[in-house]
Amino acid sequence: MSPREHPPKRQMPDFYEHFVPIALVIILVLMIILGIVAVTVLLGLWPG
Amino acid sequence: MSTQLLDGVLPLMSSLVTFLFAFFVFQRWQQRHRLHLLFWGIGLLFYGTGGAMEAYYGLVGWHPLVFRIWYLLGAVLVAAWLGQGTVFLLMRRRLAWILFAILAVGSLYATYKVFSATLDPTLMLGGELSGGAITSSGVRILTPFFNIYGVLMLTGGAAYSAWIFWRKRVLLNRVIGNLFIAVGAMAPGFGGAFQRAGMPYALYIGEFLGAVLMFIGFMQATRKTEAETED
Repeated sequence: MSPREHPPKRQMPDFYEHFVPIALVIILVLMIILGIVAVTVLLGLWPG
Repeated sequence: MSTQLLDGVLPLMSSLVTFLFAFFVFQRWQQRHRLHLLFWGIGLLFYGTGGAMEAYYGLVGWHPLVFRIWYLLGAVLVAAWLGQGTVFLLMRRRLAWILFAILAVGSLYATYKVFSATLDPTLMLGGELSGGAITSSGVRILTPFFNIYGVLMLTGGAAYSAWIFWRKRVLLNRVIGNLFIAVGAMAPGFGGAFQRAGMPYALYIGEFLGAVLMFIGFMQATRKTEAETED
């Protein structure tokens, strides 16, 4: 493949343009939930 | 058979996947000599050993030493040591060493506490290992501290890396790989939380999913892309 045939560097498939930020937000929300669970365990409020 | 499958074979599969994963990570560490790979490899050995102890309990039966090794490596230390790898990857070296010193002292203290704890296996529910068997005070309370640090660093670090690569619009394989690692790193945490709440096999399923997702993520993030191969 010649240099001219290389795709532009700053390009990402359309699907990932939308999917990645949504996935990152979901991960952030899950981390917050897990953090809340950990704090409730520390405070002795979580069952078990 | 179905109970034995979940009690013994599922953690055995987690263990095998994780040891294979550790092999690839150590192989990469041998080639590159990067500290984060060494810590990830050690963390994965802890993960795999924890799974092996669970499998032993499910297939063979109770042994206090098996329980102590499982609790120390599989419940207390694993996430923190994996997270320490990410700390060495993303943070300044000096700060990473300070955090490691704290982790090392904490790990020694946890080792002492776990190996001196009194145990009562009748307090565990079903055929799976759980921290409920520990009757001494001041042991189970250590676990959240290690796990908060580990999950925050491992999941947070992977999500941060994915975001950086995505923002720069480069190395899509690393974006996807890091997303897998971020989700996989949280799976055992959710499994442990559900197990504490009384849901059977939640921990073992979470651990298996975590091992598989992180392994896929690592292979995806480290594979050579077409552009790299052609360069």
